[in-house]
Amino acid sequence: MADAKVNRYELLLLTIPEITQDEAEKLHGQISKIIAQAEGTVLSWDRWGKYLLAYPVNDYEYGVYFLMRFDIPKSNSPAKVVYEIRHTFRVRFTNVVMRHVFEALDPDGSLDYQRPESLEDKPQRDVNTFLKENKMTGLVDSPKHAAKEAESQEASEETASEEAAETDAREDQESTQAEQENE
Amino acid sequence: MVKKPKLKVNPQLLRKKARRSVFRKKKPCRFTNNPQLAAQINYKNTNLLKNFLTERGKILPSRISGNSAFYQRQIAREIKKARAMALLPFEGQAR
Repeated sequence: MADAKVNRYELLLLTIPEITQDEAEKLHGQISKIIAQAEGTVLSWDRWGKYLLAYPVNDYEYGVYFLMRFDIPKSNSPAKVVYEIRHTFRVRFTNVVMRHVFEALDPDGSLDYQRPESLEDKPQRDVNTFLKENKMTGLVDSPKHAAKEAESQEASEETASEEAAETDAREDQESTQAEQENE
Repeated sequence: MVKKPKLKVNPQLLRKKARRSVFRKKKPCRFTNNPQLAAQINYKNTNLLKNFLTERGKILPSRISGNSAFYQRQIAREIKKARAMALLPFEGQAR
């Protein structure tokens, strides 16, 4: 690690939930411009998505996370670059960026990481899916749903009867086997 | 009046000895001998770190989680980082 000519950094940003695409691009452009001035390279810019925060920040219950990774050559004073980026958050993006954290990475290490599941990754759940999963029919009275329910009930009855038949057959086999052994 | 004889043995030591005499099996640390899992300790990986929080958001003591001191320090550090980024709750703010 000591031999590496670059310092690798990771930047996690917490922005306001109603951040627009333009604002995000502006943010990305501004940071990468500062990095480019120091002859650094941007490795990745990931939008994690919308999250329910663990506690309200600036009166916002939700937030959007961005993860950025970049290299800066050691000869170009990386600490100053980090300071400059931090400065832009205070001056230019005070209304957008709520929290940020810099982290030094190992330049030789892998760039894989695990992140929590965002609200955008999760499938949207509504009342109907919940009722279907739990086989509750009382609250849903639409004719389409009733028809579906009837079908599914018939299917379940059929399967039940099949299963019963199978079990009977098995029992018969077992009993015959037992008799043979006795003989 | 008869003076009470002073205890020769430190009562704290006695209690410590009594505690030791109760046999408890030491819990295994899940990170030692498992470098792959240990490499995943990171402030971004909240799904792993959530295992080491109580319902109220306090950090679990290693006495309960079974972590070795080395990994307990790492986990505590990463949890505190995640708290600053609102990824994990501070104490009493869990929901």
